[in-house]
Amino acid sequence: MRSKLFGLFAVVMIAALVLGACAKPTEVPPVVEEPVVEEPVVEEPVVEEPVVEEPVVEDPWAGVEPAKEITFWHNHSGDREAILLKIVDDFNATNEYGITLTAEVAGSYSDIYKKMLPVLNTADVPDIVVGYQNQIAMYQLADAIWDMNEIIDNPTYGLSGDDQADFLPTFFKQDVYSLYDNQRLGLAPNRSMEVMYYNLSWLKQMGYEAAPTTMEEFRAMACDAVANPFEKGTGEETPVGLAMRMDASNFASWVFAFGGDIFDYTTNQFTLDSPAAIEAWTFLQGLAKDGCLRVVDGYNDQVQFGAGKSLFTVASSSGLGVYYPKAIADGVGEMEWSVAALPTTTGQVKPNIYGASVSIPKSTPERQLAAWLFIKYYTSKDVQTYWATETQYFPVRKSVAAEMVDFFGTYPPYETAWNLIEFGAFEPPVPGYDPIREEMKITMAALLEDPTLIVQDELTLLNTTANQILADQLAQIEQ
Amino acid sequence: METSNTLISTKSSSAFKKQAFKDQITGILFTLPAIIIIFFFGLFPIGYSFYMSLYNWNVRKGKFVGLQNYLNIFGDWTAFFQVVLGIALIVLAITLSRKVKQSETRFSKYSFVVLIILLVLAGVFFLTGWGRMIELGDKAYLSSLVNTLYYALGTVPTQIIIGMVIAYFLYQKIAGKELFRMLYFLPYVTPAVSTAVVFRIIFNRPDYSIANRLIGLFGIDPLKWRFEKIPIMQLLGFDIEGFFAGPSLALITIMIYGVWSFVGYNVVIFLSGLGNIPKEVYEAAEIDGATKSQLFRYITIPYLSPITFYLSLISLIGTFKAFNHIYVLRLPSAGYSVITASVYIFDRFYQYTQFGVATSQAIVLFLIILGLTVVQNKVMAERVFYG
Amino acid sequence: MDNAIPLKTSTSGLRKTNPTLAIIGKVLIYVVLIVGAIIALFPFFWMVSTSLMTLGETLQLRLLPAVPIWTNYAEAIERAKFDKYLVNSLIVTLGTMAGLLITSILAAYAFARIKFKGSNLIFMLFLATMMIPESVTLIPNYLMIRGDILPIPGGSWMNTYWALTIPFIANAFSIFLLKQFFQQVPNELWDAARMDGADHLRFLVQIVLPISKAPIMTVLLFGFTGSWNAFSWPLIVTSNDKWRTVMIGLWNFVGEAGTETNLLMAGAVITLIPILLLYLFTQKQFTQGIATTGLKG
Repeated sequence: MRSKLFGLFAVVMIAALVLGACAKPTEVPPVVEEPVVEEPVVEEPVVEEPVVEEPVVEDPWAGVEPAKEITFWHNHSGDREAILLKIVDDFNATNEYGITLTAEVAGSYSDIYKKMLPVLNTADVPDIVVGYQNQIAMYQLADAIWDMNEIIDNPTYGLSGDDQADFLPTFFKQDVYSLYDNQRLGLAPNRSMEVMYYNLSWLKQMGYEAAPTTMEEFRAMACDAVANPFEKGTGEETPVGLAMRMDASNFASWVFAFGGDIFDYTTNQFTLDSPAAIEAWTFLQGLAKDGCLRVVDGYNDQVQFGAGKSLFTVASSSGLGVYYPKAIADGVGEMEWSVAALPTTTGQVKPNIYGASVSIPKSTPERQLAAWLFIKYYTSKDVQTYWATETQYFPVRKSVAAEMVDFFGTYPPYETAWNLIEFGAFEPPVPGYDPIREEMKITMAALLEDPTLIVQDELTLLNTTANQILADQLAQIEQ
Repeated sequence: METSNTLISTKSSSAFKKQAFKDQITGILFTLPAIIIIFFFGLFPIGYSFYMSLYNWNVRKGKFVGLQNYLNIFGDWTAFFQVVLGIALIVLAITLSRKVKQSETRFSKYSFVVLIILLVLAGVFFLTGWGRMIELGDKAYLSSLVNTLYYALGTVPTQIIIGMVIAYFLYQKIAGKELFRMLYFLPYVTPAVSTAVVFRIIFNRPDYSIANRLIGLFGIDPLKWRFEKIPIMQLLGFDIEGFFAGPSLALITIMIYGVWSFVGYNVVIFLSGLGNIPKEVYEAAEIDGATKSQLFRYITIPYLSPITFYLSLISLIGTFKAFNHIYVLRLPSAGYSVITASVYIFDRFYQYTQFGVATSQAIVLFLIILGLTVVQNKVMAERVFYG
Repeated sequence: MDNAIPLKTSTSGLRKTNPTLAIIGKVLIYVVLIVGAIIALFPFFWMVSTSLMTLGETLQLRLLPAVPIWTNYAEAIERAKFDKYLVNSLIVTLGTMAGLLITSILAAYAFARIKFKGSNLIFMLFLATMMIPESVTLIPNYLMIRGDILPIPGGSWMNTYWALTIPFIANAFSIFLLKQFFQQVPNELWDAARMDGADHLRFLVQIVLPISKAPIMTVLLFGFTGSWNAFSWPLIVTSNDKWRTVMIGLWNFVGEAGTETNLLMAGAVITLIPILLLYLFTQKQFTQGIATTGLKG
C-alpha cells in the first residue's frame, strides 16, 4: 500500500517537476515585457528547441529547488559532535542554496538503526542518516534508500570524473550494492580500521622491543603481562594481556588475522566456522583459559589499557586521537604506546576496515537534492581534511592524505594505521548482520568464559543461526 | 464488586425506568474515554497479536503461515500435547487429592495408588514432551520460559517472606517506624533504569567490585556476578544438569535486584494488613498463654493470608512482566541464561524485527500467565483464611 | 470496609513476660531493621557518592570522594542533554496524569455508583488487562502508533508526545483504586444531592471529589512514577533527541559514557531527583495509598 502510494506520489512529483522545468524560463521574460500578454505563447517553442537539439538538457534536476530545511541523524557525540557541528554551521552559512541542515545526535549506530526501521518510507525519516553497510542493506529491503546514482554524475550537482577518482577506490565502491542492482546507497565520509593498541612502555619493561607480529609472540607477551604488572598501572584490576570487548568486528578482525574471512562472497553465506575462525577462537580461548585474556563490558578495554592493566587491546583506529589519549591521561598519565596491525599467521596483514557511510532516505526530490548537496560538501577535499585531522578518522580522498603529512608527523600511530589500508578487508554488507552480530557477541563471550566449550561446535551452531537469519532477510527481497 | 444499589425503589416504575435509562447513558458516557483507550491499547492488541502471529511478518506483513510460528516454538505438536497433557494430569492429581482429603471417607489405599499413577504419568508425559520440544523447537525461547520460572520462584517467596518479617518487626513498638517504612519503600518508587545502572556496577566482575569486596569480608572468593552464566548448583560444586542445576549467578544477581526493589511494596501492604487484625484476637490468645512465635504462627500468618495471596498473585504476574532491570543488567557474557521471556520477545521484535515470531511467543507467554493465574486463584483461594 | 482507614501507629498490646528477653528481642529487631535499611539505601548512597568522584577514584571503587566534584553534574548534563530530557519527561508525565485523572475518575464513578447494563462485563475486562504482559501489547501498539493498523490523526505518532501519553491516559488499576473509594461514599449524600436536583456529574464534582483527595492523590502518584519510569515504550516510539525522555537519555548514556562511572552516576541521580522530591513530600500519602491497594475490595 505504502509503496504504491509513494509510487503515485513520485509520479505526481515528477510530473510537477517537468511542468515546473518547462514553465520556469517562460516566466522570466513576461516580467520584462509586461504589457504583452500573449508573449508566453510565442515564446514556448523556444523552450522546446534545446530539448530537440540535445537530450542531455532533459536534466531531471534542472527545476528542482533544494529543500530549505533538512535533518541529519548521526552518532557523533561529545567532541566529535562539536567538530561535525562546525562543518554543518559552515555549510549552512556558505551554501548558495539557502539550505539549513540540522544535525541531531540520534544515539549509537544500533540505536539509529532501530529508530530508522519504523520510520522508513514515512515523512519522519531524516534527510541524511549514518549507517553501516549492512544496516543500509536492511533499509533497502523496504526500498527506502535513495540511489545516489541518480545524481552522482550530474553535471550541475554531481561529482566530476576527477573527483570520483580522488576517492580511495575501496572506500568508494563499498556503498554500491550488487545485491540491489548496483545502486549507490551511500557515500563514505570517513573510515576506520581495527588495530592493535599496545603499551610499549610495558613491553619494554618486560624486555620486548616491539609489537608482536606472530601469534606465538602475541601469546608470549600477553601471558607475560599477567605475571609482570606494569609498574605505572593504576587501580585494582589484575593485569592481563588482552582486555577484550565483546564486539563482532573484533571477531572478524581475528579471523582476518588468521587468514580467513567470515563471509563467502561467492556463495553469499557466512563462514563463521571456517578453519581460520576455529583456529582464531581456539587461540583466544586458550588465552582466556590461561588468564591472559579478560572479557570486559562496554568500553572498559580502553579504560584498562589506559590504566596500564591491559597490555593490548584490539579496537577502532578512530580511538587514536581522542579516546585512547584521554583514557591514558585518566589512567597512568603517560606512557609509550602505539598501534599496529594484528599479528598474523600468514605473514600478510589483513586489517578489518569499516566505517559508516551517509545515506539519503527516500523522501522528495527537493529534500534528496538538499541532502546530497551537504554530502557533497562533507566529502569535499577541505572539509575532509578538517574532519579527518580533528577526528582521527581516515579521510576518503587520496588528495586529503597528501595534505595531512604534517598531521602524520605529529601522530605516528595514525600514519602506521593509514599505511595498512590497502591490505584491508571488510565485514559483509548484508541485511540481518545486526542481529547476527548480537549472536556473535554471545558466542564470543561463551567461548571465552567457558574453556570447556568446544570451539568448532559453538561456531558451527553460530554459523547455522547466522545463515538462517540471512536467509530470512533475503527471503524478503523476493516477496 | 457489590455496588451500592441505592436507587430509591419507592418511586413509580416509569420514573424508575426513566432514571434507569438516564443512568445507562451516563454510565456509558462516563466510561467511554477509558473504554476507548483500554480497548485500543489494552485489549485489541491481544487479538491483533494473534493475527500477526499467523503471518511471516518481518517489519512488513508477509505470507500467511497459519500456526507455523507456533510450531517453530514447540518443534512438534505431539510433544506440545504431551506437555499439555502432563500439566493437565498434574492439575487433576492436585484437585483429586484435595477432594480426597476433604471428603469424610477414609483415605483409601485405592485413591492413593490412583494419585501416584496420575503423578507418574504426568511426569512422564511432561518430561518426554518437554525434552522433544527443547530438541526440536525454539530452544532459546523455551529456556527463556524456564528462566522466567526461576525468576518467579526465586523472587516471589523471598519477597513475601522478607516483606512479612520486616512488616511484623515494624509493627512492634519501634522508634522511627515511619522513617524505616519510607526507606524500605524507596527502591520501589525509584526508576528501575536508574537503580539498575547502579547494580550494574556494584555487581561487576573484577575482584574489587563492591559485591566481591562484601563477600570477601566473609572469606568468600570473588565471583563473576553479572558475567557468570554457570548455573548456581554447578557453581557450588554439585554435579547437576538440567532444570535442577538452577539459575545462573547472573540471573540470581538480577533476582537480587528484583527482591531489593520490590520488598518495600510488600512491607507497606503487610503493614496495613497487620493494622487490620483485631487486637482482641491477640489479647485473647495471650490470656491463653500463647508465646510470641505462636502468635505469629497461629494468628498473624493466617490473618495475613488474603494479603499474602494478593501479593503473590501480583508479584507472580509482575515477574512475567519484568523487563526494565533485566534489560539493563544483562550482558553477552551471561548469554541466554539471563534472558527471560519478556526480554527475549522484545529482542525478537526490536533487534531481529521478526514481528510474527515475537507475537506468537508473546501469545504463548500470555496463555501461560492466564493459566497460572487461574490455577493460583483456585489453589490459593482454598487456603486463604478470611478473618 | 474500613480498609481505606490509614494505619494508625497502633501497637499490639502485648504484655511482656520476661524483661531481659524482651530487650534482647527489641535489639534484634532493631538490628534487622537497620541492616535492612542499609541494604535499601546503599545503592543510593553509592550512586551519589560516585557521582562526585574523579574518574580515577571510581576506578579504585572508593566509597567516598576525596573532594566532591560538583561539576560532574554540569558535564553529565552537557554530554547527555539531561536538561532537555527532563523537560520532555515532565511534559509527558503531566500530560499523562491529566488524562489519567479525567478518564479514571469518570469511569470509576460510573462503575461504583451508576447502575448500567454491561458495567460488570466492562469492569471485568478492564481488570483482565492488568494481567496482560506488555510484550503482548507492545508490538500491536507500536504498529498502531505508526498508523499502520488504523488511520490516526496526523498519519503517524512516532516521535510525538501523543505516542508517549495517549496509550497511558487510562488504566484499570487507577479505576479499580478509585472505585473502591467511591463505593464507600455514603448513599445518604447521593440521596440528598438528588433531592437538590443534582445529576451524577454535579454530584461527582461537588460532593465526591472534594472528599476523595486521598485516593486521587494516590492515582496521581502512581501515574507520575509509572510515566516517569517508563522505559521500553519510549525506547521504541522515540527516535530522536527532541522527544527522548530521561530514562532513554540515561540508557543511551550508559552506552556512551559507560566507562565514565562518575558521569553516569551523576546522570542517574539527575533522573531520580524529581521522583525523590515527590516521594519525600508525599511519602505518607504514597505509602498509605499503596496500602489501600493491597486490601480486598
